[in-house]
Amino acid sequence: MNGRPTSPVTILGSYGAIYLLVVVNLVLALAGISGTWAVVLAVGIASLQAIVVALFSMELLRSRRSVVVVSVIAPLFVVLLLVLTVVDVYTRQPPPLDIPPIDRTIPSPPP
Amino acid sequence: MSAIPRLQHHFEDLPKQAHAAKLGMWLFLGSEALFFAGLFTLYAAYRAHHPEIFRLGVAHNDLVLGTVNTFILVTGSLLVSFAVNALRLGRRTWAILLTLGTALAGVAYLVIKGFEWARHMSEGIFPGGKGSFFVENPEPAWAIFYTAYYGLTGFHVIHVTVGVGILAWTAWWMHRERIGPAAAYKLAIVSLYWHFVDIVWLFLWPLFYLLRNPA
Repeated sequence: MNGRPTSPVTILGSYGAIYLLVVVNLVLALAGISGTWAVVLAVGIASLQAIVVALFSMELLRSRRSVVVVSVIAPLFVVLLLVLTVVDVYTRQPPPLDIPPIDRTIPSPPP
Repeated sequence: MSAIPRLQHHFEDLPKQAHAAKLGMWLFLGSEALFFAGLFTLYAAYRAHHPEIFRLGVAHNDLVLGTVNTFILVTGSLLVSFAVNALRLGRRTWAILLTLGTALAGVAYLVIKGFEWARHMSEGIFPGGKGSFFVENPEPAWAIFYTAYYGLTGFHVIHVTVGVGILAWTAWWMHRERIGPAAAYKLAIVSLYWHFVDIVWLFLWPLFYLLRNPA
């Protein structure tokens, strides 16, 4: 892991891409994109940035397979948890997160 | 003190020791990702259920401060990448300066985040749905949004604070020549943690500052 130094061009190039994606994400938000597409685009761009950081800055491209396995499986579990939970919230009837109305009536005392 | 790391008795050589350290950090980061996954899932589930109030909550946050913090953290990551490179090339002074630069970026992030929290609290928005804001806005989803906001950004702030401390400690060790080019893997492992903190923020930024437009 001491390894050879990364080329400055690679570092600057990868961070140039990350800065550019930050600007793209900001411009899309300011352009007024909304709804499901806004979420998909914003999270998609964040995922792309994460992949660039992982591949170049965290040196996954130069890592042994044991490290790559960990770096792939952890995000897979994250995605699995997120997708299954959101699908459940969207599709279950009655909605699972509805707060039931609170019964505030005072029961009448027994005669 | 020698800058050459001591070979622990259970490793055959330094490259194997360095690889074990790197794998250990990746396993730790994997568990950290799963920790944040629970919080992100909470956000996603409640946003799916209360899209309008979450949108209004995001619109209430300060986009400029959030964006400035994004650039600060990304710049910190850039600096620590160059710091690792500098140490591998034997340029210890540059490595120390760049590592301290990264720690400074972390401090700047914390100051801005503190300012942002102070502004929220002056508006009566406290963690756990406490404060005058929630009396004026009694819809329970407001309390859920700001609990998610304080929870996620709060845990992220804890990670940034830990990162700043580790970076400063590593810079001190480089200054004392306890970490030199032969032990550059130690700085590289610290940089892995910092890049992870950066990645978490790259997701928090759109979720709490960008997704604000009405459908």
